[in-house]
Amino acid sequence: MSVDLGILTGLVDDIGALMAAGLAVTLAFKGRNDWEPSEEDVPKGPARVSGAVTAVIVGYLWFQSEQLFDSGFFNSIIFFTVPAVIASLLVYVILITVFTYEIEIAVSSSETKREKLIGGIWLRRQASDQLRKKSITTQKLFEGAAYDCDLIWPRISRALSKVLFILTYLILIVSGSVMLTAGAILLNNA
Amino acid sequence: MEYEFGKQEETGPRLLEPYEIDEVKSALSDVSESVDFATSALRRRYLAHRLGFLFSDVSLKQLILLEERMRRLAMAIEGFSENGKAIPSIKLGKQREIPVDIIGSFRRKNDEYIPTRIEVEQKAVECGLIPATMDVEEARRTVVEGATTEIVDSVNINRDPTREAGGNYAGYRSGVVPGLSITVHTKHDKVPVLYSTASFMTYNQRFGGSLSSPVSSYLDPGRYIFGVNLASGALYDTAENRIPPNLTIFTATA
Repeated sequence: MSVDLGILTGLVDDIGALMAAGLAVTLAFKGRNDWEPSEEDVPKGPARVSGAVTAVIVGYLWFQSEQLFDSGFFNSIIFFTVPAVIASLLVYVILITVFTYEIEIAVSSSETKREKLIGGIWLRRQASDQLRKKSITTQKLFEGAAYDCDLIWPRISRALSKVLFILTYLILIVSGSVMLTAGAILLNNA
Repeated sequence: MEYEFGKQEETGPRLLEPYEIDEVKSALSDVSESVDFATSALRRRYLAHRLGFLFSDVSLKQLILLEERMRRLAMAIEGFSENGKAIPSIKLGKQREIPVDIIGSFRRKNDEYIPTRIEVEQKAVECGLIPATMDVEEARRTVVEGATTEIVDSVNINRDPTREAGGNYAGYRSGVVPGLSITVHTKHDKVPVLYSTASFMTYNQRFGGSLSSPVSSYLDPGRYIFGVNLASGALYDTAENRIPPNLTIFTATA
């Protein structure tokens, strides 16, 4: 059953096509790997934003491909996006290694499950004092605080680290998808 | 050397008088306000002169009694000096430390001789003590732990799902689940059970609504320290217990 959108029908169709193309390219780049930030409390927004941005760029590149093909524009895109993908991937790996902690959550009165959580960039003063005195890891200190994030990191510290995760993720996904699109257009017009 | 609290003196330990508690709070307030200065040797000696000390002749026997008083003092100053500032202390052996400035608050009456910090330190060294410094939180915890023998017999996770429906729960933080159902067995019967997170000590948190032992309640996963609230004050175990326990934990023989 189709919905009559009147004069907006064409626009909605175009947006749908763009989103589908963007999603297809993004998925082609992401594959089945779980690139998203591992923490559950990172909003799903980054995935949607990266999909929308990719869709717009893919649409622009497609519609401008004939005019821009001979100018070397697509070669330039590949030239810039390849190092961007590699760099953002490396940064992303570093962020995951440094700022990701394990948290144990009660799912019933007798069972728990483990999840990943993004820690803060810097510790609260009392937490760093405890680390220094006890010579234990941050993960161990976190466990001893009953996994209460507010005892270990200031909220602004956690917020900034999440922003770093999201920014890196966006750069990784968008640049990777655009790189693939530019390569496909070059191949298609060759 | 092993010894037991309250068994060294025939008269046994006594509770602090209200005026003593006020005196200690006042002295600690002075210390906290001048923490930077207090870290210098000159300032510490000045404070020692000004505060005086409880004992004129330091002996291990007196320190044992004093330690019991320190434990009660730690309860009395609960909620006080939360800023984690440094205060001088005396380390007893390798494990037990007593904040000197708290000791200094137990000064004797005017007609008795009050030794200087240097004299006390000399006596302390003769008794095998080591002068040391620590922050308030560590001092408070050490004082409490210093008077503590093993409190907890075992910590078990309850596998009975019927327990989910009722009871008190502490440390609620897991969304719809109030936490893991935990049963704590203690050596002391008919006393309230206390708990604290292991990394950051918080005192006087009641575990469960019933008296020991056992006591059941809810806790979020993590590492905790348990204690009991006796008539003479709270006693906390030194052992940390992981929740959920991988196995039944026996911290001491009964």
